[in-house]
Amino acid sequence: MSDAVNATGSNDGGDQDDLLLADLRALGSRVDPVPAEALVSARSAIAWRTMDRELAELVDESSDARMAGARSTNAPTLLAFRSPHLTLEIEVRHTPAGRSLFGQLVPAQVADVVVRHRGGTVSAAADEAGRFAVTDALVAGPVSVRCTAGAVVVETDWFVA
Amino acid sequence: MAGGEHHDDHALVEAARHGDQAAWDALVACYGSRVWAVARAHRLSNADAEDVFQVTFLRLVTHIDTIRDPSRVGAWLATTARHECLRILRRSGRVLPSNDETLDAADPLLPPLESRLVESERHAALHAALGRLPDLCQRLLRVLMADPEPSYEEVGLALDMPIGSIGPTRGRCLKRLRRELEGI
Repeated sequence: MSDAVNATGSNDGGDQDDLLLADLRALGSRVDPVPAEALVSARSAIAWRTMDRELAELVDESSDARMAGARSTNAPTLLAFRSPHLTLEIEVRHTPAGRSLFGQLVPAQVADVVVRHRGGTVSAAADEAGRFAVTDALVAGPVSVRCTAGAVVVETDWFVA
Repeated sequence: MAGGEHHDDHALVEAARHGDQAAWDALVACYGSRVWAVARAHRLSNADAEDVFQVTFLRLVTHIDTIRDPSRVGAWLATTARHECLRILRRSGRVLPSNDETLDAADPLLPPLESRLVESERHAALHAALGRLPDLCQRLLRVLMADPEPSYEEVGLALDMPIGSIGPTRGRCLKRLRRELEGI
């Protein structure tokens, strides 16, 4: 395939290219392999498989960093997740102690909230106005929020907080 | 090109849907290097690349029951990894790597070589030559360096390039790399 399209114009260009790429691949494996801890975490990810819940998918995201034109990773991020029964609006703030998460359920309702993150799980409760907060308790990295409101269980897709 | 994997992928995804740890491990082993390469091709730091890696596989767990075509799980992962890279770049107010400029490269595409890791002058020369290529070439070759090698479809999705342009661009970039190595 590469013989037909590569630009070397020689018959053995494809073979040469494959050999050079094999050298590059060896270099990559040597100097930039997937970190072992990352592989271990990814293998354990299957344990997070859950069923009997509605998935709330990310429908909107905005960050103040861009609007302010700042090269800052500390600006709050606003995310919106939607499932058939529930919308979750989530604001992530970076603090020296960790990540804080402020949530709003729409429509507003009382719910048990469990936030899953790299450091484990944190529980919270949404009040009658549908608001919940987890402050300074989250480790930076992938986060997912699970809400149990009556018979409805809604879980957000994973996002990096 | 990686065509033989597709039946296996279908079986692995089906098994992982039922919580089969060995099947899931096989998916991580097969695609881990590719997801990592996508993050590096977006010039993400170690910490950001690890977040992308983690969230991409967590999202696969979340969506594993609803992926329409399990034989194309590689394409799904490439697309998801790219989106997560763009989210992180956007959130930190960084511009996307442009396709035709050489960047100031605040975040290197490959970590610097430590002398004790260099097994051969060949690797040192390759590392240096790669860093002198145009940005698009560096990013394309970094993705193609994944082991096992990604399909052109996966590369196209990972870098938002038309599939038809991957082969010709690969050829041009490797030719240029060869010239750099020869010191021309």
